[in-house]
Order: sequence, then C-alpha cells, then structure tokens
Amino acid sequence: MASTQNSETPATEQVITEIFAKSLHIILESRSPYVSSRNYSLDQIPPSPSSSGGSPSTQPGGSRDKWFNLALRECPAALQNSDFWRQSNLEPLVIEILLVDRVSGTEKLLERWVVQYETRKHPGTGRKSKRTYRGATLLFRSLYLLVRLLPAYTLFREMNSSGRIRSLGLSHRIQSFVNPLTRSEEAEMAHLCLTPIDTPFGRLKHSVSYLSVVDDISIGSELSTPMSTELIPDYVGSPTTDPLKRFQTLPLGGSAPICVQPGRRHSWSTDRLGSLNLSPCSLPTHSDPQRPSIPLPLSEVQKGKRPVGCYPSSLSSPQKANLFRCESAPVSRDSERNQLVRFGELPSGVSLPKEISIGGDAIRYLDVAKLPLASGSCVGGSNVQLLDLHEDSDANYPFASDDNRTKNYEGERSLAAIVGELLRMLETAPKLQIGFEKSDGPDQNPNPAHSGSRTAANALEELRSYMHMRDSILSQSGSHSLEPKPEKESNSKGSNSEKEMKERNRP
Amino acid sequence: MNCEVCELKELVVEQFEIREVLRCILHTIIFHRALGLVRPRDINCELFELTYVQCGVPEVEKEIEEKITEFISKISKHPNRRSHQVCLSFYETKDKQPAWFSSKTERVYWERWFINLQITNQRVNMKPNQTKVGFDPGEKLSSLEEKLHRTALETSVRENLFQIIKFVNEKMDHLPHIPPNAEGISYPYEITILSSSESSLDMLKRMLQTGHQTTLS
Repeated sequence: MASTQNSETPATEQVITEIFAKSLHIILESRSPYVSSRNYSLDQIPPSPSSSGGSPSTQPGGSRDKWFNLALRECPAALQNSDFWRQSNLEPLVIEILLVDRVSGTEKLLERWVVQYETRKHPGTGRKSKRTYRGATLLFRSLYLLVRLLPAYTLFREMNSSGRIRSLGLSHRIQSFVNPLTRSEEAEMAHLCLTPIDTPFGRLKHSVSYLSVVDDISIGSELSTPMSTELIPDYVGSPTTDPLKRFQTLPLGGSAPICVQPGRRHSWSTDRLGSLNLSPCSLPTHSDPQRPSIPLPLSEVQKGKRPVGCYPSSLSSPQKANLFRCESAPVSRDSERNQLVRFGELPSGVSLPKEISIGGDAIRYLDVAKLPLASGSCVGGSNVQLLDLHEDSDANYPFASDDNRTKNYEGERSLAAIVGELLRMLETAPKLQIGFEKSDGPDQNPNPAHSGSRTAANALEELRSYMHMRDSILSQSGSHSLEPKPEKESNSKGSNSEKEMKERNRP
Repeated sequence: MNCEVCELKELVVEQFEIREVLRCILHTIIFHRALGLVRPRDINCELFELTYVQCGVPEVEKEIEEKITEFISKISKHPNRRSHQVCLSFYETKDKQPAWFSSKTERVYWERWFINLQITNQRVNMKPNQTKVGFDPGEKLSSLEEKLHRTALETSVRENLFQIIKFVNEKMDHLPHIPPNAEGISYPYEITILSSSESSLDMLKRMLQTGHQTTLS
C-alpha cells in the first residue's frame, strides 16, 4: 500500500489509496471511448451490503467497485493504470484528457484533473478516517456528476454512440507531476476545485482545468504541427481496394464527378459543432446565389445526382468547369489527380460555407482565416480532390489506372489495372450506331478508310469480344493457371479489339 | 441542528418542459443525498444535450414521477399563476416528549431545496391568424425564439446543477449520520409543491400537518 510517509493510520492510508483509484476510475470511465460500460440499469448483479468501511472490488461474483457506496463497473483504462500512483500517495495523480488527431498525431489538452494529497501543517487537527470516508463518499457523488457536465463528455458520448471511425479521438495521459499550463491554455481554461477531503493528517484535493468551450478555436490554434491534406488512395471502397467497384462508378453522361469523401478527419467536429457552442467559429452564411457545394461522394454519383462542383462562393467565375485550386500555378491534368489541396493556403477572401447538407449529413466548414489548421483538418484534411465536372472525353478518373499504376506489383499487370484499362476503352469508344443515324457533320469520321456505319452485328461481335475479355480477367483472378488456348484466343481477341478501338480513335 | 436551505436559480420553462427539467434537478439532488450503496444510472435528457445521474432506486424514480404529475396537474388548475416552487426536504424523525394531542415523533428537517419555476406559454400566445400561406416572418421569429428559449433553459439547468454541486460540497457538517449497510436512500425525504401565493408560514403549517398524519400509528 502506498504510504504518505506521515502518521496516517493504515486504515486511512487504504482509504486514501482507494480515493485515488476511484477518482481515476470515474474520470477515465467517462473519457475513454469504447472501453467504458455505462448501462448500469441492465446489470443483474444482486445488491450486496456495503459496510461503512467500503467494499473492495474483489467481492465474489462482483465486477463492481463499490468503494464509497458508488458501485461502478470495471473500467479497463483505469485498471491498466491502477498501479501508477501506488508508489506513493504523496505524488499527485494527474490525468490529462486529450483530443488527438489520429492522422497527424497532434493532440490538444481538453482537461487536466489533479488529485493531490497534502499533509497538514498542524497534524492531529484533521478528521478521523471514518469522516474521511464519508467526505469521500460525498465528493464522489459530485465528481461523478461533474465529469458528465463538462464539455469533453459531449465528445465522449458522441464518439461512443457513433460507430464511425473518426479521425479525432479522445485519449488520456496519466502523470505524477503537474506540467504548468501555457499562457494560452491558462487563458482559455476554466478551473474548478472540489472541497478537499480531510484526513487526520492531511487532505486530498480534487481540481480540474478544462476547456470551457470545446470549439475549434482552441484545437486549431494550438496544434503543434500544421496539418496538410493528403490523398488517401486506399480508402475503404476505393477502386484500388475493390477493383470491381469501378464498374459501378461509371457516371452518367460521361463526366467524372468522382471525388474523395472529405469526411474522415473531421466528422466528429462537423456533427457536434453546433451543440458545443461554436459561435466564434461559425461562418456567416453567404448570400451568393451561386451556392457552393462540396464534391459528392460516390454514392451520390450512383444515384444519378449531378454534382454541381466544388468551388467557394467567393470565386467570381461562373465557369463551373474551373477547378478549385489553392495554388496559383496552373497544373497539368496528370498532376491534378494526385494534387494535394491545402486549405491552409486558400487565397484571401475565400471562405467556406457554414454548413452544407449532403444526404442528411451535415458537414461544416470552419473559418479558414481563424483556423487554418482546423480547417485543414476539417475540410480537406485527408482526401479532397476537385475535378472538372462538365468536361467529357478527357475527364480524369482519379482512380482509373494509368501507366504508372498498371504495373504495381513487380511489373505484373494487376487486375485493377486491366479493369481500368477496359473502362478507359469503353469510355473513349465512339457511340454505337445501330442502323443509319444522323451525323452532325462531315468531319465526324476523319478516317475514310474505316468509314461506313456499323451494324448491330458489329456491335454484337464487339460485345462478344468484351465478354471474352471479362472471362479472361475473371479466370485470371480465380486461378493462375489458364489454358493456353482460351487465354490466347481471348487475349488475341482482346488485343484485336483493342487494336480496332485504338485505330478508330486515331485522329 | 441547522436546516440548510438552498434556493436554486429560477427556471423559465414551458409546460411541456416541466417534467424533464424537474426530473433532472430532483434526481440530481437525491443522488447527492443517497449516500447508501447506489448503482448510478446515466440519463440523457430528452430536451437538452445534458446527462444527469439517477441513484438507480426504482422507488425514488416512481415517487418523483408521481410528484411531477401532481405538480403539472396543480399548475394547470391555476393557469394565471406563473411562479411555482417545488420543495425537496430531507428530514430525520426524532422522538419527543409525548403530550396531549401531539405526536410522539416529529420530523426535523435538516436540508431543504427550493426549485423555482416560472411557467411560460409561448405557443399559446401565438395568434391563429398569424399563419399565412408562404413566407411568414412570425413563424420564423417564433422558431428562433423557441431556439433561444431552449438554449437559455439548458444553460439555466446546467447552472442549477453546478449550484447543487457547489452546495453539497460546501455544506456537509449538518448531514446526519449515515446508518451502516445503507442501501440507496440513506435519508428520508419528501417533495412538496408550493405555489406563489403560499407563504413559508403556510408551508410550515402544512408540513406540520403532514408530519402529524404520518406519525399516527
């Protein structure tokens, strides 16, 4: 048992040790997402009497900590750190609750709890251990409620209730020393102290410093490293991880409004900003009739909705084909695919709308001028790519395979590459003409050698060749050994059709 | 023994908000005074982004619901009265000298909490002819007012809860001894409903009468 190196009786020492343990339990139970269990009403554990001296957590059949008449379930986070302070009760127990960005690794201090035992100047004037126990019982009622009233609890609830994987998370750090707060932290944090628990030779103090408003002003300005956006190529559902999905992503009309969903990094903040009183961060709504919208995720494309585009409202250009570029230099088509959009470098005057609803999910943007880092984290934190939405044949498919990607694995053509190539062929192929159709002009078919209308028979033959190609692809993916003849035939047919397509497409 | 009194800050509530607000505050106070073994239950408020704690004793929950229902029916009978009070009192029973026409035991109140409510009827004040086809600034204003009211009420409820925490932390010496092996509720309590016309003297008389009835055996 940890000692206070004073004249505290063993019973008091034990109570003091359990006070530290209970404090840790109550705080971490409501701050460590996914490791706490709070549905006590579902418990079927029969009540067991508890003496005034408290019940240790080792009661038979009991998984509850009943010390101080407050029965709590096990908290793994607390159990992992239960021996931390047992070295000495004289050392303070400092629990820091942090908001962590899992992508960049930056963290922000939300709360700091300090439980500290202080020896009394005049020993012998304190309370007896029974009174200490009662004082602790009263304190823990308040502490249990207090942790639920502070702003960080709202974050905890949100993270626990939603099954989404969020880029921001809650973490904690336990120390035996108190780091002085920075000036800015001192300025923005509120402080609370609970009434100390008197012991015969000292007293235990509980205090907390906490961000009174968990908004992104604090988070954005205090992050230690700047956050830049990154394109995540292998997000769940991407064609690189699910190649066959590309067949489903053929947009209507030939345009390519495939944009990466920008919601991963900042989903918690975008959902809960309003309830956490983020008025300093909220943007004035734009009166610009050209209301901006953000790129729609793939699902929206599949539904046939036509994405409007991705541009801030302050851009005066009405051309929706313009890319929203943060960088001034023009970029080539190939580089745009993997271009990083750094919202921290938005040109002046550009601001983002307060709230845009897409499919019922409210995604909010933060004031870039105030929160360059937060906005980078919140808007395009990881994977925003903006594309032309109204161009046709030379539209870019960010997930379509190009030459660099076709030979990813030791020079061999991957299945994804083959499928990508097939897609490209299909999309660049001219329209089929069944029978005689109007031609728009004499220059429609510049190659007179291959002029003439294509009949349905040609189309059927082409379809057969594609089916052969598909079968070959599927057979390749299923087994490595293929019959030489069918493979050769399908390959030859495939290559023939490829040659045919390429010849047709020659200008 | 001193009787500590805590007057909570007044809350402006609409009729439909009374139940949730009273649940929140009454359960919070009782949780702080149920010093026997409890298994706390976290309850997420239906109206606010707020979580309060119940002590997990079913009898307490039942009694609170009954009292709230009684309160709501009482105020509906007096629609002109806006200010109402709910009093939560903790007491202990003590034997006293038996005398003619008096009870053998008495209740000694050692703590009282006054929850002050002002009932508003914002929606009742809206005139039916205000609704028009198309854009109605009156409707927009009323929804904005409702939002403001809800936000203000949530803030006030939070302040009440912090006030409770502060009070229970500052004043502990007046608490009676907790019986050993206590489960759940450690101190008897009662919930009484006051109205604005009732004075503290009336309340005292009523409490004495209530005490007389309960001590008859």
